[in-house]
Amino acid sequence: MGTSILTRRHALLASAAAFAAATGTRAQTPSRAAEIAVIGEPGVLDPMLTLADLVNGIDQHFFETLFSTDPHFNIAPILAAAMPEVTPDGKLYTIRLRTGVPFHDGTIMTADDVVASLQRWLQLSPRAKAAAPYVTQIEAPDAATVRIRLSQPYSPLLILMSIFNGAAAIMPRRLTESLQPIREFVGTGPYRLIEHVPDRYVRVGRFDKYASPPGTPNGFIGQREARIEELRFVPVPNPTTRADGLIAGQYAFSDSLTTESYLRVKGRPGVQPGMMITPSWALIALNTKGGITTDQRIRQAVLAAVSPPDMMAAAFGPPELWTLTGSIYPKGTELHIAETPGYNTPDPAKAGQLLKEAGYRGQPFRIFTTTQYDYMFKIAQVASANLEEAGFKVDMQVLDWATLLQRRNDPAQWEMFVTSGPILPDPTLFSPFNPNYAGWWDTPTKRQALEAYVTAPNNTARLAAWRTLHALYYSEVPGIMIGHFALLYGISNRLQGFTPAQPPAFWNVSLV
Amino acid sequence: MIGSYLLRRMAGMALVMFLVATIVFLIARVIPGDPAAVMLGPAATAQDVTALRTRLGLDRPLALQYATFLRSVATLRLGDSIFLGQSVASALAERAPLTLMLTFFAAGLAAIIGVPIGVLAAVRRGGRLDQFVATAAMTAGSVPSFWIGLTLIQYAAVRWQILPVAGYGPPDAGLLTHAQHLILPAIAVALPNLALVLRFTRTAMIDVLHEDFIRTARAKGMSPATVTLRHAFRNASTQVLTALGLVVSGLVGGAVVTETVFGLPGIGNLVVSAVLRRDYPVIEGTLLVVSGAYVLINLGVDLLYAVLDPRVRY
Repeated sequence: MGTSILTRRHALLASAAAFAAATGTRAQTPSRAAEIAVIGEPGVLDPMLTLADLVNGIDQHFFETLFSTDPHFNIAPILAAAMPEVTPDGKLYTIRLRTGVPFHDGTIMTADDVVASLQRWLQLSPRAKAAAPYVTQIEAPDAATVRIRLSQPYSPLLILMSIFNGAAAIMPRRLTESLQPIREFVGTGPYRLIEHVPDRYVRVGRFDKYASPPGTPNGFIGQREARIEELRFVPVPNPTTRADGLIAGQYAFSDSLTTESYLRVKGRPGVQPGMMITPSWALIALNTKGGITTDQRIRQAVLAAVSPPDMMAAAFGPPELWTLTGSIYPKGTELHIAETPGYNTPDPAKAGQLLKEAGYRGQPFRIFTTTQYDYMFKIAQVASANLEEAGFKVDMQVLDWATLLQRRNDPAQWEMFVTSGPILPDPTLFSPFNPNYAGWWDTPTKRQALEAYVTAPNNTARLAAWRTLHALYYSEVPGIMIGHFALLYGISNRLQGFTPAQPPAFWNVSLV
Repeated sequence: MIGSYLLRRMAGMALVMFLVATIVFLIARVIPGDPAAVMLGPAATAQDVTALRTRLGLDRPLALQYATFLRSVATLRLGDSIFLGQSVASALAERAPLTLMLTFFAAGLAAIIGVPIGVLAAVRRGGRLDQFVATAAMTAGSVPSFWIGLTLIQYAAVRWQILPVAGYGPPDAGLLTHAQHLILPAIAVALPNLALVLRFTRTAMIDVLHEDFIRTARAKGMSPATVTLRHAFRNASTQVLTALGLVVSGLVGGAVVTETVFGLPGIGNLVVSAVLRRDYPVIEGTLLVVSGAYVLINLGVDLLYAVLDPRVRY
């Protein structure tokens, strides 16, 4: 009887395998093309408009910026011929451009295109908004030079032009005339956009006339070469399916794995899990403009109540996938600061005392969270338990992501939400420092420290101002750093030469 | 006679569709959430969101947006997606073939397997086969299709590697490759529906087999096969048709969860993404088309009743 079942199962498998062989199931992707599983449909591909890494990760293959960074945030030229010449007063940037750089439509990039692109960027990019008031003029004295004049020094300008996030992407002037999302995608990148079929794929193909920047490749800087003929970014919303597709050989790379899917890939033949070099921030945002958290003592009570290690363990699993740190920047960067008074010192009694001093009478402490991002929900759950223990009356509101994004813009509706973001090279890009970001931290001391930072004439002054700003984050508690967590991915052994920098780039990567 | 019936039904359908359009428009706008905020990402401020809302025309008065929406429905273009960079009509046209293939694949499996087994179980009511079928149908009907999907992926695609894990095949794929990509999702969708059709068929057949005319037919010496198929099944077929109609209309709306698990670019996936991103024109257009299909399928089923059952007259 047992033999018969076994034989039948074998027969079934054999016939299925024969069917697959006959119809060529395994030969779905020709060796010249690599399928990259991404978390969803990117939608609008305008590189200036969005801060979403899903879009930026795709866009950076066909659009380029004047400068870029290596994985440790060192800046180098890409479309610029060299680093900019900056006058000693920090108010005039002269940028020499590389010449003979073709766009995908066959025209050659000129300073006129760069000026038009930067002007559109200043009007459109959420990242450039902070820089725009300082820029008085952008001009092209000749076809290969661009000058940017500022009303006063603005130290983050170069970083803002270098990051691919609300990017200062260079495109032909004709595309820059409308502030509506662009529909034609003409850049200078090593790949060109072939086709975007929403919810199925974005296809990019090697740009044969690509003019690469010089230099040793390192992350996003140095020489770029499209070694794979075609890349297909395929939306696969389910993380388990992204991991399974990688294991089965369908995808060459699977982006944004969850802890569970990361562990699923670990130890499987032919594939490896990995972590991006730069981690992400996990944060609690507190409302300084509305609700009971306008009282600094209540915010300090939250800091005293919460337990970051419990939150990180609940949200991100094994300790090798996260780092417990109160410093906004990781160790090894010049922006790392070890002094984080009050971080990870959970003390319910102290929190209760602070609540008493603030005259807390059991008003609801409203936490916004969503189950669409599992880690946000888990961190909020742990926070809720910690806060209840300290005497807060917690009202946890589980919303869908789109609702949360909308409601958090109303200061009357909440006290706390959990968020995260990629660690970006300049502190001004850390959302809580933006006075318009939900939380609205805008005290005179903070404003002064931020102003000192952005107008710092040199790096020493800039780092000193950063130290002050970091200290204020801990004394005024506009939010709470929970820790840093690794961005996880899975990669096939067939894909070689990948540098784990966020968002993942596939130039200088080969498919064997 | 049937002409005037059809005319009445069409007029009713037009009214239903107008009401659906209005309700769908209102629901999409009443639910909280903002497409501009989703498009910009979590680091954006309220000012960034407001600026983008203005550029996208989302700040226009609701009445004006409603008028634009009705005009776009009348021209069958159904407006433009906020996210996809294409019209809703073309987004739907791109995704409809997949969903229709999946629907007919799954409904076909449910009919071909579910109906005969349902008939057999009814004929041998209380026997071993009936008990086994009842248990199996109950199990298949209770297990969620996403779990069936993930299990199928785990075995057929990851362990045995005989079928693709997900997606709809590469851009240059032919119909055969597309079909391969649909096998696992179709099974995942078909199983619970197969159970539904099977149980409907079984119950309908058991009811009919107790009727007087069946006893008469048997007494006349007709063969059991003739009694079952010509007399009993023909009478039970209207209920079976109802079940199949339910299955098809449920699937036209998209096998939402299955399409997400298998990363299939069908209508279900489109509508889920649109709701999560608050892509109003896509939500409105898709729901309108799906409701239209639902109404049409119902009409088709009603008309088929008359073909299957001579007692039904319009």
